[in-house]
Parts: sequence; structure tokens; C-alpha cells
Amino acid sequence: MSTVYERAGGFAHIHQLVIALFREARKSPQLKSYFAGIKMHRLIEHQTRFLIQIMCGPGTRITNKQLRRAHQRLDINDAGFFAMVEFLKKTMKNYGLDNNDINEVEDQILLHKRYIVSDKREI
Amino acid sequence: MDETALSEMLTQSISFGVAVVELDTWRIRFENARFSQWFSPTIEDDENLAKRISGFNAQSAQGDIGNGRTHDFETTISVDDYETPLRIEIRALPSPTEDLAVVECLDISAEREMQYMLQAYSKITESNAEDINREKERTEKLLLNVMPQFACDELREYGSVTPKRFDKVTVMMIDFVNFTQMTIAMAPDRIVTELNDIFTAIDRMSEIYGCDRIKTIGDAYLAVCGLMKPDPRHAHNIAHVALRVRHYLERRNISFSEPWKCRIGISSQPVVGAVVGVQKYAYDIFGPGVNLAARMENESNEMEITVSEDTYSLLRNDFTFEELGEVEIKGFGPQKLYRLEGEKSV
Repeated sequence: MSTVYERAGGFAHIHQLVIALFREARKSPQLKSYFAGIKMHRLIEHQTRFLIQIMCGPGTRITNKQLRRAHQRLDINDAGFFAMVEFLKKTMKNYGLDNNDINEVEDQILLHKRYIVSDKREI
Repeated sequence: MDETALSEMLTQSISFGVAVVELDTWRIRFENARFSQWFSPTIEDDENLAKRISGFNAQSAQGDIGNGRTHDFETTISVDDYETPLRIEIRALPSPTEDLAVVECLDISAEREMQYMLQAYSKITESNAEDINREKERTEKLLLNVMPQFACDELREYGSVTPKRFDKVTVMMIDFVNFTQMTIAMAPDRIVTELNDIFTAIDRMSEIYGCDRIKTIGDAYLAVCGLMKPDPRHAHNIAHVALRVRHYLERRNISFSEPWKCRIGISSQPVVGAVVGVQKYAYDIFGPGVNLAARMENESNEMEITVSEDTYSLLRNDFTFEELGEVEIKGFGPQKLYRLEGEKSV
């Protein structure tokens, strides 16, 4: 059984998605504040690894602890998280990903929500 | 619109930064809108290039340009709180009257994005390659547990292992007296735990003397020396292991309620080593060496070590034996047997 990563054409195609996500999300009024001041190479590395991971591609998994640490200081709220999810879905759609694959990726991201969104109760 | 005005408009609207500087002082004589936006003038000396561009080295630039080369370097600025990498190129501007240079600044974000992403992907693939290598090593290690290095190499290269005859090896067979009765009398988990402890101890002793366990069948333990790695002292090594196994069991039986009494047989006749099975393959040995060791074990009483004549002839100078005389051995005819007692004191 193939993975979303393979169906999407592997890295040869996914790299365009990562770049589009990186460029466009920084322009979005709702999202741009989250990316301000972050080193470009760190952001791209994180987005590449995370996108490949949620598409079930190869590579070492980003642990939940690493995911929490990467997002903690950004203070992402529910609205910001879902805006990013919608943004990613739109970008994937633009890059010709199948609806089922998009939903599968969305499910994967939702599984990680608690490590991305800041929960004040836990701090 | 005349040509000069058109040129001015074009220079101001292009997406890369342009400036013209005096070569001796680095004073900026002209800058377009993009250059001003990227390198906003500072309060002091706002016309000096060195004050405006971080990372600019005037001495190095003068050197390059003086030698007819283009001076280039990279710098990073912050645009709307985002890191923006720029490539700066400075080269002499042909002018008959003045020493001027043109400074071109290009946003190389796209280039960097691609470079960082490829770096990220390389890390992923490298870590994958490391995982695969680790897994390969683990598999190889597991294979080396069940077969010799040469068989492992052959299996990897050709997918099969050609059976091989080994003439200079010694085989040891260990069995336990009344094991069947013990399995009935003792709780299953206890007998398995104790058997496992004993086999583990024998494994360690075998390892110390360069001997290899080939397999266990129930309570029987089959080991060989000289096969995985040729060793002229194959018989000596096996004899050392056999004596230590017996000693270990004697000591163990003092403190345990259920005594384990072994019978050990040793032979130094040839064997054939081969991989058997396709899905669940294992390296096994066959032939007279194995059969005779089994017969020797059968001839032993409890806690005794019986060796065949071929083993005795290899060991007689260094170990003490009791001669058992000639005994009819199934499949081998009359054979002279010896009981290994211990090492000769130096």
C-alpha cells in the first residue's frame, strides 16, 4: 500500500509544496506573525521534515516533545492552528493532491494539535 | 518621455538594488529605491557604503577591483521581520574621468530556500541510510550468531551456501541424565529457566575457548571448534570447555535442590557444514564427527567425558585420560575409547 508521500510524487513534487507553504504562509495576515524572526534554514528544515512525516514519507520522526518545543514560544492558538491547516489544505489542492490524501494529511496534523497549540493550562 | 528619464524610471523600479560608489572613499553617488529600502541610510555618514552594508570589507573589495575582478559577498537583512539573504556584487564602472564602481544587490531567498530544503532532505536521506546500515549490521550480527563469517559472506553474495567439509575440527555433544523424568517432575517454567541458565553458562565457556554452539535439541548441546575459524588447538579448546562444564555443574549441584548431571562426548572426525532450510535457515553440521561425538556421549556415565581415539591422540600430551578399551560403536565398528579426567599439571 502506497503512502500519501509516494502518491504525491515523493520529494520531487513535495519540495514545491514546502516552498509554496513557506512563502505564502509568511504573506498571510493571520499567519505571518508566527513566522517573524525565525531563522529561514530552521523553518524550512522543520517544515520539510514535518510535511514529509505527516505524508508518511521517509526520515526520522519528529518526536512530540520536539514538536512541542518548536512551537511553544510561538504561542499558537486554535484559530492560528486551524488557519494553517486550511492554508496547507488549499496549497495541497493547488498542487493537485487528491481529496482523500488531503483528508489523510489533515487527520495526521490534527493528531499533533496538542503539541503545536499552546495550552496555557499546561504551562 | 526622453531616454534619460526612462532609464532613471527603470533603474528605480527594478527588483534588485543598485548603487554607484566612488572607489577611493566608497561614498555613494547614486542609489535606486530598492537599495535605499534594503540599506536604509544611517544617521552618521549615511553616504558611506561600509556604514550601510553589514559584512562589507572595503580593503578586500579594493583588492579585488584593483585586480580587475568583481568583489562579491553575501549578507542578510531583515525585511518585515523576515531574514532576507542578499548577494552583493561590486565591480569597476568604466569611466574615463573618475574611479567609480557599481554595486548590485540581488535577493537570493529563492536560492537559499531551495538550498536549505535540499539540506533538510539530505539529512533525512542520510539518516535513512544510517538506519538501513544499522539494520544491515544487526541482521549480519544475527546471521553471524547462526553461521560462520564465510558462510554469511557466501549467502549474502550468492544467496546460498555451498556445503563444505572440515577435517580439522572437534565436536562436543552434551546431554543431561534423566532429563525426561525431570520435565515431568519439575514445573515447566522452572525447568526451562534452569536449562536456559546452564546453556547460557556453557555458551560463555565455549566463547572463552573459541568454540561455537551449533544448536541445542531439547537438553542436548552441540558445539564445535575449528569450524567458524580454523584453530590448530580445536581439540584442546573443546576439552577445556568440557572440563569446565563438568566443574560448573558440580559446583552448581551443591547449592541447588535438583542436580543436573551431564554426559559429554567428544570426537575429532571430519564434519560437513551447510545451511539447511530456505525460510528458516540455520547452519548445521553433519557427518562422522557429529555422529561419533553423539556415540561418545552415549558411552559416558553421569558427569563423565568420553573421547574418541582421534581426539585422544591430539590431547594425550596435555590431558590425563583413563583408557576404556575397545568398544563396539554403532556405525563405526570397534573403537578405542578414553575418559577425559583433567589437565596434566605443568
